[in-house]
Amino acid sequence: MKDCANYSVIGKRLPLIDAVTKVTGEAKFTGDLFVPGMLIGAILRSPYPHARILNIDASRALKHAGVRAVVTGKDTAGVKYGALEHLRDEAALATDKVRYIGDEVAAVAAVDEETAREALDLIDVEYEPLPAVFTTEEAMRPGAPRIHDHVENNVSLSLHIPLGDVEAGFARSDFIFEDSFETQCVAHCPLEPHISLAACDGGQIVLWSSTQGPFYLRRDLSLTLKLPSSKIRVIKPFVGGGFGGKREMTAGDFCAALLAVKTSRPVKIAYDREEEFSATRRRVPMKIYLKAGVMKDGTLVAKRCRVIADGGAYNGRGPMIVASGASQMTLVYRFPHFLFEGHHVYTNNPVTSSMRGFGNNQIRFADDSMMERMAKELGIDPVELRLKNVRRPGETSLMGAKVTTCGLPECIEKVAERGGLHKKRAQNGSGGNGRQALLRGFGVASAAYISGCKLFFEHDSSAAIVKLEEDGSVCLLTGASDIGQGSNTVLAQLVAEELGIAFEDMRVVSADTDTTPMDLGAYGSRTTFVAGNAVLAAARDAKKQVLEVAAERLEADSADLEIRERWICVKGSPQRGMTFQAAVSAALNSPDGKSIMGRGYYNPPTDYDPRTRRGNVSAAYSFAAQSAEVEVNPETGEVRVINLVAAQDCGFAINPMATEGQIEGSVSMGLGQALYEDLVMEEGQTVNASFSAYKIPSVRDMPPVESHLIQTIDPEGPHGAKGIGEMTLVPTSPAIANAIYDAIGVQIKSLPITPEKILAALKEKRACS
Amino acid sequence: MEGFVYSQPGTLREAFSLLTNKKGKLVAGGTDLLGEIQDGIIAPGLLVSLERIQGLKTMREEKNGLRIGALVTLAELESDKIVAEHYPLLAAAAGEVATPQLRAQATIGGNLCQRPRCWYYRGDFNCLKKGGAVCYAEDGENQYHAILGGGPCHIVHPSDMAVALLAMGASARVVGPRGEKTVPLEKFFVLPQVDVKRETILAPGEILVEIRVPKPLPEARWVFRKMRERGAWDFALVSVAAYAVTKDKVIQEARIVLGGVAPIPWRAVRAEQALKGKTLTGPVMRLAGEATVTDARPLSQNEYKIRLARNLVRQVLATLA
Ligand SMILES: Cc1cc2nc3c(=O)[nH]c(=O)nc-3n(C[C@H](O)[C@H](O)[C@H](O)COP(=O)(O)OP(=O)(O)OC[C@H]3O[C@@H](n4cnc5c(N)ncnc54)[C@H](O)[C@@H]3O)c2cc1C
Ligand code: SF4
Repeated sequence: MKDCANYSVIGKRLPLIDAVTKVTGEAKFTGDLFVPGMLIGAILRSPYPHARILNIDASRALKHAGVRAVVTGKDTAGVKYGALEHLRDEAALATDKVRYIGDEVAAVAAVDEETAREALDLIDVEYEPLPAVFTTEEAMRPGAPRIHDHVENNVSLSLHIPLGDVEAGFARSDFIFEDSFETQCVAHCPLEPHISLAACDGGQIVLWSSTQGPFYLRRDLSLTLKLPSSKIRVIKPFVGGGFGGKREMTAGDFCAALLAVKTSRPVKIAYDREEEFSATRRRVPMKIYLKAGVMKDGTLVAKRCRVIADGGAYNGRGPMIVASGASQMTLVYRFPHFLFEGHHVYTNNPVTSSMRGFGNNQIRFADDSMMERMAKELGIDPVELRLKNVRRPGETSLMGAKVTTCGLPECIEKVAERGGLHKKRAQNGSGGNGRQALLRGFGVASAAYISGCKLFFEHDSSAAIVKLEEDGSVCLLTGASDIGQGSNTVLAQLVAEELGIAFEDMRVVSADTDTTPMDLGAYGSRTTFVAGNAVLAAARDAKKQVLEVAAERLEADSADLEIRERWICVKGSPQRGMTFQAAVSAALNSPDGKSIMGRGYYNPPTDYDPRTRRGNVSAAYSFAAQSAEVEVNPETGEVRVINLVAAQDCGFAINPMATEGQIEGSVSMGLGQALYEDLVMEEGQTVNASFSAYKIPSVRDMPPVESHLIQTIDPEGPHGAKGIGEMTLVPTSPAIANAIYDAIGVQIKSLPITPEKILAALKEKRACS
Repeated sequence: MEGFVYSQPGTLREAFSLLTNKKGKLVAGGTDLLGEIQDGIIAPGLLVSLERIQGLKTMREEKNGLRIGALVTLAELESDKIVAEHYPLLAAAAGEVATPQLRAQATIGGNLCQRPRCWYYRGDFNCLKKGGAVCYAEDGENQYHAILGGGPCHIVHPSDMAVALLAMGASARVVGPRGEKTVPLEKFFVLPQVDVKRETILAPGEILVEIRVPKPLPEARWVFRKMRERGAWDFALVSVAAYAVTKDKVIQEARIVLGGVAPIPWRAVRAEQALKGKTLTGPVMRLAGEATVTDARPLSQNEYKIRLARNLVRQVLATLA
């Protein structure tokens, strides 16, 4: 392992670069922005799950005092947008039909929010309700109503990926396991809802948006508004969390821009919490049919995985989410024969799309649940079974992922060992205190994840500029989007380390399509890895330039110079040097007035083939394991997670504190998805669209989380770092589910695992025994 | 959200007039009421605050019991020394309500008069309770609904305090334009079959001003147990408050009240009968658990609550034994 002790800025537990700004309330989120003359917009949404729009009459709304403009599908070019061209099926405002309750039909701009919301009631829309379907079974049945005219049976994408010979594999296996699993629909729940503010300025539309990727958003706006991208500037202010829900353009972004053009006034549109829960993107629920063949000794031979995904009314990123299941299945554990079959199905439910984990969570829940049952029934220790089949460094997965560094075996060993210690302590401590018999259980699960990918574009690029300032400070310009995860901090640490200056010397300007270089956005766990390499390239370029200046002054060869603690000197003779600031200033104040700017970009070397969906989709893969211990009350079905141990192979933790923050945050999210969260639907209508009815974990539910960082120092990552943001969530729910299985002796195969399901399972178990 | 006028009358008489003549809506802490306004369930043009009316914020112990003004907050109940010492059941229940922030603002009066949490009622559904024609829960998502006393509306009463107070044998003092009355808390709540649009006996203009809790007998034992999905900020799936007076281990008197199972805080009379005159042995506790749910009529998705109620009563009794 590389000697990390020599680092002075990276590898350190530094508070986020914007922590003070945030805790003092100084940070401005989109909702805090105010532009003089600003109007407030609101969106009219469909009350029907499926209906034809016969007519929209906005005349009453337009007459309402204070209303400045109304836009409907007719005012738009009706352009369909989305990630991949052949999957585009959604217009920003509905033109012909509405396909889910909440589908956007019109938008109003008015002098204030009350007026705008009142005006919505005055827009008369004539609908012809159409038969609707709410489950994938209904949707796929022959003769089911077609949600999109061009798609038969409502299956928008079917995948069939055979690798090896799965039937021969099953025939050769000693044992066959077969089961079906179901994951629920959950919401992202960012504290900040979707907000957009658009203004026309100097021939451009400027949009401030709570987005995870301004460059991506500019592309969708340019497409749908039919404007060259140079006419649009997207700025990402502080963002209060995204979790994948702020990846795509919203109707709010589009309508704010359109209304701003129409009224020549700035327009702000903020979704309220109910809209946030019922009309924005949500996680893709999946039914997963899994069959596995295994030898007596636990060696995996073959797996067949069939996924039916409820995509809701439009594709969003759903089809790619289904496809990523095949990668996850083949990346974590090794086996030679595989058949993946995936169907992305339209229903008249709200749209399901990107969310932290991107389909991997669903698959991992099914696969690691089955591994657990296998272990129990084969009489093999679950940890042993995993270690026997675990991915090792240097291997290529069946889907073509070339794994370079891989710390998964160490991660599994770590959580088993640490989790096992907790278990012992708990056993010694309990008993004899008179409490009723609570059932204890222990479970583990694994995960693997990409660090960026080329699923959406030919490239997965990020660029950066590093400006050295006369006072010795450094300004980093990056397109990367800090949405609360801390990317500005980590990127600043990388630059400061490279330039040998202090973290306090750094400023970061990020995520503005006009003032910063491009980056595709915060998704695919790509930012630290991809943008990190880009800022490193820019910092190295700047460093080269400043060292050249210093070399001249110090009459040395620039190759012999180094920078440490803001001091440039000849390696080995620190007295022969000058300050970093003096060198930058000298360059500027020289006859040619040289202003030092480093430039760089990074595009990961991968070779993914979108047609076969095989190949090396990412330039590095991260791995994780978690163990959970639970206490179950068999009388009431109550579950308490009493401790959770997480081990992550993140390559190298540029900021261990921020990495642990990601882990702790995702444990709370995974806990919610394992035990509480579920968007309850009634004929396409979300019935628990509020924080009191939709239950995310509270502080009392959080277990103590013990984090371990396994540092494998990836050769391609910036100083060895790999992506971490999503993977930490993937093993949490299967680890908890496995612990519950261990405790009660029955496996519950659908999420969330509620007291109701536990009581039912225990009842069945008693009836069988 | 519609705008409203906010008034703070100084006397009950003034309040009555605003409530009846001007169709004002009573507000105490506002934690439930403002939610209802924001969700568009009600749109009162006038809010009548109890804030300035004398005497509603006090709590005092007299020789035969505790008198709690309607505006006493749940946080006060949770931390009051006298309550902790002599009426710990109340402190225990108060500590389980919502979150610390809400408890600091929520009043005991508002807690007893809060409106139901049925998601159809809180959502955009014009159900029976809101004057519509159907109960959406009947054939819909009814996993959190009533197993006892339901029909034609199947809400569960959301108050934790009501469950504890009922077990303590509390009563409510109600004042209205036409005088005042004190009713046992059991008679304060009404089933939907009596009036589907409200949960209490309060007629428009009537104000709950005080709760009276008799002093528990020295030999009394009690337990409060609230079972919910997550550890805080969650209503009860099922809760049980048990109060029992025993002599030589024989139960003289028992009150078993359940929350989360019925449209009103539910007194498990059959269970109480099963306990009277018995000692708390395993079979007796089991019988009491069974008796709690003999009359239960589950809806399509809430049968599990029967098991839950039965088991929880048994568990609670086991801690009393
Ligand atoms: C997120 C959340 C979680 C919650 N969780 C729980 C829980 O776990 N357990 C629980 O028991 N409760 C819970 N509650 C309900 C909470 O306890 C009540 O909102 C609170 O007690 C109401 O008190 P208030 O003073 O704010 O009443 P208000 O909101 O002011 O009033 C509530 C209702 O009672 C009427 N009212 C108020 N005072 C009187 C009076 N003196 N006479 C006649 N009518 C009156 C009002 O007109 C109104 O209809 C929760 C509420 C929220 C918002
Ligand atoms: S249970 Fe009551 S409040 Fe809920 S839908 Fe039925 S009638 Fe309405």
